[in-house]
Amino acid sequence: MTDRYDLVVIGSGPAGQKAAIQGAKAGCRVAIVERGAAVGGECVQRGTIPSKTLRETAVALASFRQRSGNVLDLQMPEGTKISSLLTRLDEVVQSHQRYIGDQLRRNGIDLIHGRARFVSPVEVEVQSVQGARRRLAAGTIVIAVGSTPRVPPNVPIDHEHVLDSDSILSLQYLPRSLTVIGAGVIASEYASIFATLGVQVTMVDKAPRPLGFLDPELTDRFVAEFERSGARYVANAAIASVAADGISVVTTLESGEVLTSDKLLCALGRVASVDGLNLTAAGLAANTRGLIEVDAHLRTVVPHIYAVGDVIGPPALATSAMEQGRRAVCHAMGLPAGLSGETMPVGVYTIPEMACVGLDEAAARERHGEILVGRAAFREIARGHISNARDGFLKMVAAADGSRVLGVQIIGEGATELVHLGQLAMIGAQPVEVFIENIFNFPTLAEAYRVAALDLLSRRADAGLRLRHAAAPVEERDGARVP
Amino acid sequence: MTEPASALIPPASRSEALPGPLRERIAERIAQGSLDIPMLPQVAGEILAQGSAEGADVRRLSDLLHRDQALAGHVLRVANSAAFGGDVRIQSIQQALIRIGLVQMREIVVTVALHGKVFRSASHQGLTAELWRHATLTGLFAKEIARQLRANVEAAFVCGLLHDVGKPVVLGLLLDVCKETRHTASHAACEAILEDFHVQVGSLLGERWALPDDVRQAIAHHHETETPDGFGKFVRMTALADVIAYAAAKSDEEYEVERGLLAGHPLFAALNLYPDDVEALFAKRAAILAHAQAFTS
Ligand SMILES: Cc1cc2nc3c(=O)[nH]c(=O)nc-3n(C[C@H](O)[C@H](O)[C@H](O)COP(=O)(O)OP(=O)(O)OC[C@H]3O[C@@H](n4cnc5c(N)ncnc54)[C@H](O)[C@@H]3O)c2cc1C
Repeated sequence: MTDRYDLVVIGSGPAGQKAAIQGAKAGCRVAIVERGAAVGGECVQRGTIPSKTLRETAVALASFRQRSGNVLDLQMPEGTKISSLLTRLDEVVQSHQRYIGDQLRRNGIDLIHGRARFVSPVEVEVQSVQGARRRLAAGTIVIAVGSTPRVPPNVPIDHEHVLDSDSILSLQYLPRSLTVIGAGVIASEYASIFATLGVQVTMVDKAPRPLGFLDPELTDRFVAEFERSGARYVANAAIASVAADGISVVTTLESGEVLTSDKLLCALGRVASVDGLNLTAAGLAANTRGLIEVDAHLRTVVPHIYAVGDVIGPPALATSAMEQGRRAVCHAMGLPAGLSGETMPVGVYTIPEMACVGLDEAAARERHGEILVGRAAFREIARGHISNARDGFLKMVAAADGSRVLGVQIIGEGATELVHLGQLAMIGAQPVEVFIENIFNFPTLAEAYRVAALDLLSRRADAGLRLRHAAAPVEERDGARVP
Repeated sequence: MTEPASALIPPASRSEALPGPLRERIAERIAQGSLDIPMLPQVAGEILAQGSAEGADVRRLSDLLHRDQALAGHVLRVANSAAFGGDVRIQSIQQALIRIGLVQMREIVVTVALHGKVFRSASHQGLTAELWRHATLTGLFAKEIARQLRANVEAAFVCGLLHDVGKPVVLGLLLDVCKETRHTASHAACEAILEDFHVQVGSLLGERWALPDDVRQAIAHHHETETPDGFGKFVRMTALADVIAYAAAKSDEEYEVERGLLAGHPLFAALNLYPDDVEALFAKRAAILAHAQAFTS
C-alpha cells in the first residue's frame, strides 16, 4: 500500500521541521519521517541544545570566578557527575520536543516513526523500528537527514574512552584530562567548555589556529583565553595514532609528542547521513565529499527532490538549516521566499563566545581594496567593567567612505546576541554613522558598536576624509584602540 | 513480564519443585529480613563507589591487587588470556593494569570480589558457575547495547553484572533452609526458587549496599518488558542484555533458534533499535563469549 502526499520530508531536525511546516502552511498534505525515537534531530538530541546546556554551567562558573575578581577559585570536586552539570537538560529537551511535536500536529503533519529510503524518484519506503514497511509517494520530497560525526580510520572510537560528539555527554563523570582532536566549531566549543569546568584540556589540530573561517584576531584572542584557563592548543600537529588502554588514552603525534589523557573527544568533522537513503533509486548520488549537491533553490539534480541542512554541507548550522528548509519548500510550491540571507550571522559558543556577520578584514580588503576598520574593547565600556567581561572586543569593517558596514566580528560573552545589531545595519545598508546617531542603553555591551564606529570614523578623518560628525570625546576614541 | 529464554528457568516446574512448606519458610525468612546478606566486599565497594574509573587511583588499585593474592592471580590470568593476549606473558600487576586497562580492571576486581564472597556454594558449583557466567555475559552485552545507544558503557556494564545479584543470596538461604529441614533440593528446584525470589532479595541487597540508583532499578525491573518512561534507559538495556545473554550462552544450534525468536522482542523497539542494529548486536556473540570466558575461567 502506498500513501500519497504532496510533500514528504525525511528527517525532523531543524531543516526538516521548517520544511514540513512551510509545506503545511502552503496547504499541502505533508508527512515527516523520523528514524529517531523523538523529533528534533541532532540539534535537540545530541548537538546544539545539550552542548549549550553544559556550557551554561561552565559560563556560570567562569563568571562566578571572574566576578569575585578570581578571589574565589571554585573548582569542580573530583567525581563530579556530568548529569549534575547539564542544568535542566531533560526539562529543556522535553519542552522543546513537545513544542516541535505540537507544532507538527497543529499543522496537520503526519509524523511517521521509521527509516526512510528511496525506492524510486517519487516514492520512499519507511521501515518501522519493528521492521514493518510502508511506502509514501509525493510530488515533492525534501531530504533533511542531517549528519553524523566522522569516524577517522586511525581513531578507535569506542564511546567509552574515545568519544565523539554523539557520545561525549554520555560520560558519567568529569574526566581529569581530555584530549580533543579537531579545531572546528564542535571541537572548540567542547574544548573550552571542559577547560572552564576544570578539566585539563589539550586541543590538537593540523591548522595553525582553531576555527580557520574566523578572523584571526578573534581566534588568537580565543586561544589566549583558552590557554589562560590552563588548556593548551597544539597547532600544526597531525595524529599518528590513538590508543586506549583502559587507564588512559594515548595520542601520539607525528612530531613524536605523546599526549596522555583520561578520555579523548574526536571531532574531526561530520558526514552527511546519506548511507541508508538508497539515493541511486531516486536518481541521485552523493558528491566526492559525501554531500548532496543542490542549486541556489536547494534543488537536487532531480527537480522535485530538495536537500537542506547539514546534508548539503557548510555552514551546517541549525540556523541555516531552518532557513533552507523553509526556502526549499517555498520554491517547490512557487511561493516567494524573500531575500536570501547574504548576511547570515555565525555564532560559535566557545567560552568566550564569538560571532561574526558579513566580511572580515581580509576578505573585505580583497573584495573592496580600501576599507576602514574600527575596534572597541569591552574593557573600555562601562558594562564590560561591571560584568568583568574585559577580554572581549568588537571589530567593525566598513566601506572606505563609511557609507556601508561590510562586516562585524565580536569575541566576548554576549557576542552571539550582539552580532545581530550589525547584521541589521547591513541588511538596511546603513552607514557607520547609524551607530553614533542612535541612542544605546547605558551601560550595555552594545555600546561597543558606538565606540567601534567612532574609532572607525576617526580613522577616516585621519585618512583626510571629511567627517560628517563632530569628533567624539577623546576618551571614547582612546578606549576604542586596538584591544 | 517475559521469561528469560533459558533452560535455567523451567517455569512449569516452579512451584511443584519444592515442597510448599519449604517455599513458605523461605518467603518468611525474606519477609522478616533475616537474610545472610553479604557485605559488599571492601575492594569492590570502594571501586564501585567511584562509579567509573575517572576518580580511581591506579596506584591505589595496584596496591590493593598486590595485597590480595587471589585477586592478583586472577587479574594476571585475565591479562594473559586469549582475549587480551599479547605475545609477552605479563608478570607484573602494573603491566597487567596497562594491558587490561583501568576500566576493565575495575570490572575484574568487582567481579572477582563478588565471585569470592557472594557466588560461592560448594554444593551447587555448577549452578553458581552458570549464574556467574550469566552475570558477566549480561554485563558485556549491556556494554554493547550502551555503545550503540551512545549511553554510558561503564555504567551499563555494572547494571548488567549485578542485575541478578539476588540469586546467590537466595541460593544461600535455600541451602540454609534445606540444611535445617534435612531436605535436599534438586538443581531444578533451586532454579525455580532463585527465579521466584531473586528480584526481591536483589533489591534488598541493592538497598543495603547503597548501590547507585541505576543499578538498583536494573535489579528491581530487569524482567519488565514495558518499563515506564520514568525509569532510566539502563533498566531497559539491562533487561535486553539479560535475555540476549541467556540466548547467547546456548549451543550454536539452540542459539540460532533463540535468535529468531528474540528478534521481535519489544525491548528492541523500546530502545529504538532497528532490525539491523539487532543483527549488529547478535554479531558480537562470539567476541563476547570469548571475553566472558577470560573473565570467568
Ligand atoms: C555538539 C553540537 C553543537 C552544535 N551547536 C550548534 C549551535 O550552537 N548553533 C547552531 O546553529 N548549530 C549547532 N550545531 C549544528 C546543528 O545541530 C546542525 O546544523 C543541525 O542540527 C542540522 O539540522 P538538520 O535538520 O540538517 O539535521 P539534524 O538535526 O541532524 O536532523 C536530521 C534528522 O534526520 C533523521 N534521519 C536521518 N536519516 C534518516 C532516514 N533515513 N529516515 C528518517 N530519518 C532520518 C535523524 O534521525 C535526525 O533526527 C551543533 C551540532 C553539534 C553536533
